[in-house]
Amino acid sequence: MNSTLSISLQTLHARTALLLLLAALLMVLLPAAMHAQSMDYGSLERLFNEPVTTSVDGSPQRQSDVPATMVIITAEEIRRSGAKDIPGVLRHVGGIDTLEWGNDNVDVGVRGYNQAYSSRLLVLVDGRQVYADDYGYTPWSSVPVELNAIRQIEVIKGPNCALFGFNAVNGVINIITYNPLYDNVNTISSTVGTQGLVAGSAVATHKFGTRAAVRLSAGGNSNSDFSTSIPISEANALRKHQNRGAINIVGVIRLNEKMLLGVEASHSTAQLNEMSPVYVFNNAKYGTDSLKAQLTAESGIGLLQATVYTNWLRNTDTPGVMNQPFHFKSRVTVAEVHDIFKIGTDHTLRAAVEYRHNTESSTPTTGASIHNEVFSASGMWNWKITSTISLTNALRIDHLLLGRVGYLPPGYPFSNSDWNRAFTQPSFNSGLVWKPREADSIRLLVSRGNQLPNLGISGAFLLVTPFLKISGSPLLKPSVVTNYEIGWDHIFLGPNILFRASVFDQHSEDILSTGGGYIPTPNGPYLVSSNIGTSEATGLELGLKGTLRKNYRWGVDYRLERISDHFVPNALNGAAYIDYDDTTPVHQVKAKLGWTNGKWELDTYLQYHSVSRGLISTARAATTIPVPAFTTLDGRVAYNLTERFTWAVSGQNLTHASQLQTSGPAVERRVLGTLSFNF
Amino acid sequence: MRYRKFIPNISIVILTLFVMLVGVRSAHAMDRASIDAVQAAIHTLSFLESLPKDGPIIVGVLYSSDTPDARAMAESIAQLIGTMRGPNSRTLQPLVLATSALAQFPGHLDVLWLAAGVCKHAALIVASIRSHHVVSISDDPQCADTQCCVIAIRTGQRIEISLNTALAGAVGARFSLVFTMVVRRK
Repeated sequence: MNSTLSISLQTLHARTALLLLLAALLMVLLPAAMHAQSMDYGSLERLFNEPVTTSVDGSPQRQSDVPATMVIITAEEIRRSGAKDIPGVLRHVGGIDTLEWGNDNVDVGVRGYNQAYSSRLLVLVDGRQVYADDYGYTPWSSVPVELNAIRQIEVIKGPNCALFGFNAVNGVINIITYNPLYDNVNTISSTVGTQGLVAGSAVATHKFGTRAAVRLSAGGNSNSDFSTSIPISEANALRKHQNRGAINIVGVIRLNEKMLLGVEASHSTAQLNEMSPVYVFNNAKYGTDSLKAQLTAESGIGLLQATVYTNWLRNTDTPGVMNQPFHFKSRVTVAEVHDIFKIGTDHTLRAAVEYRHNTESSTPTTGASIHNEVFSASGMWNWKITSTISLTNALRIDHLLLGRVGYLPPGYPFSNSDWNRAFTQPSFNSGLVWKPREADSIRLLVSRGNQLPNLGISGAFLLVTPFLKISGSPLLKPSVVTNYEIGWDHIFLGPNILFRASVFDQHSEDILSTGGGYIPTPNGPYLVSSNIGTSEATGLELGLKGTLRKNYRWGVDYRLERISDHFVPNALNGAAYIDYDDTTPVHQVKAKLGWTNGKWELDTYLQYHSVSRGLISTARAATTIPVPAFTTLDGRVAYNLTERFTWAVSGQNLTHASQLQTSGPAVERRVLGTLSFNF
Repeated sequence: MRYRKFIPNISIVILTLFVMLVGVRSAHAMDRASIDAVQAAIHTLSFLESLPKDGPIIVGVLYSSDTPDARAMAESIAQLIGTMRGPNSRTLQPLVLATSALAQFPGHLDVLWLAAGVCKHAALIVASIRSHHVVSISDDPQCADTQCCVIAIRTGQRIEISLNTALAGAVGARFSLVFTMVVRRK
């Protein structure tokens, strides 16, 4: 077994090295007349008076031009959110769902479909995936990014990002950090708050002339979880103290006028109480490491970029199931080369190839590992048909090879060769943007995304006891999500109000579940993960935002969404730990009002969720319980003591000492005091 | 006597009103859209790779010598540019130029802002910027029709930047690829 693993790793390293070599050769062989400039987000934003992104089709675009329904949360909005973490920022965004299980444990979804260990969302930091491959979810505490290091958070709703490939099914969140070569960010902040919160964060940038720069960010916090009671069915573990620490270093070197090299390393640890995908609490520990290198060059054949990164994740959940803790260890290596170029004045194209290798050890029964390799090719074509109409088409083909090596428990219903499977999955998005007048923009969107079975439910999760046997399955199919959408933006010219409307219809096939399957064996039955059916969603999103007399800024977002699940009989009513139609609130309203006057800033955020249901675990499987409608109020008051010092008090769930918002423990009021120093 | 002691106060009031009127007149001389356009023009320089890397950036402000009040407007624009900073906080050095003096201008220019109304001298401008390798920028709607500006700026609810790629090539201007992808290319 070890020799097989060793050979597999050698093969991986050889392939990665080969890709890197090819990328390097490509760069070296480029024509001499090249002029490098990676995305200078700040300069572009100042030029157009609006944020700029590359997250939708890979090419640089103004937010108002993108062929997708997209929200960009700016650094100012992050600061004024008063949040202590990224989910706290996201919860103020219309169309985003958060399930707050604890003080540090939040699941985030876009347009509903949110569950514990939410796995239908692709989360990236500067294009590097930060979701965990074991269950395809994002442990937000382990994301090694400080809020003060973020330039903008880009939220793309729906599967409108074919260029990212797998997992971008309900949306993509791409966190863009400051580039030390262009942005000089130096901040220290210290926070204390309720639940015993003590936190510190620092971001420092240093430039070495005009050719090189480095940004170091680090932060940590320590807090207690909520003290509200844990429902009996979820009380698998006693709450422990929570903490987080993260460090991230980014360096950018202008190798010459033609070429930029970026390198990044990060490390994070987190300990928190966490709702598991089977709706019981575990004490979770995370450790992540990452290394990334990116080479960018402008050439006669376009803007070329070669990226390679590796993420390591260690995740321990105790007490696990039947007192068998889980020790997930995974690694993903991604190498990608793309080129963006123009043909004439009206056509922008992007071509890319990508290689990805994921591997995960089995747990709690050890001795095996699951791996997959993905070979991808993608292309994008943006055509400015007229001065008012543009059409974007993006297509990506992923070819996935699944495999397993190692130990097979006696009586196991699968052999390693059952994992020798291959999928070829296309994903695409097509968007027509029509601007009939300066104040109007209409979007027609069609897209198809794929959710890959994560490594946990593909077999890395393996529990074998005399009484209970649970396993991932090699027989899972990727879940395919198709989305049709019409969007309209209108600017009311006089009062400077932006109105946004979107209507979407989404169809998900082969929904993936951790349970739902049952295989009898002579040694007893195995409960296995499975594809449990289909789901349809239809929704309407309306938004208004504007400014008033320069001092005030305001916004209101409303979402109406109806989901209809069509699951196999043994997955009905959440029995297979998945229920989308009952757990997604039909109505969601988010409103905000901000005020600035001299040294003072005041921001308030209101959130309303209509009645819904929440999943809970039972002795046999899972079911749902009612979650009443709720309204929350968040706020922040800040005073700039000097040009450099700011003092702020912020809070979440301010109107209630505790409030039931999920099927988990009630959410407590939080109040934080933060002192920031910019230098 | 009692009346007299108010005279200094009245003088202050009159003086204040005068200053306000002059101020208002000056504000009228350059409206918000023009200020936005000039700011956008300066921001485009961050993406002009052919711009010399060091020293102050010399920005000519060209006005039509046969248009009344054009010089005053050009001086307002020059004054505004003088308060701004270029890429990497570089100093901007404005220089007011009349169309009648353009052909014989002996000095060096990095950028030429075309004030409203100068595009009727398009042939002269194009010949001059080609020979001096200068990037011309304007928010005059006529500049796109007469093809005398490398960068055309339109402000309003949304800032639109158009790049005349042929003219950019003719004057030797090189913009970053990212910039050319995000603006309109003509």
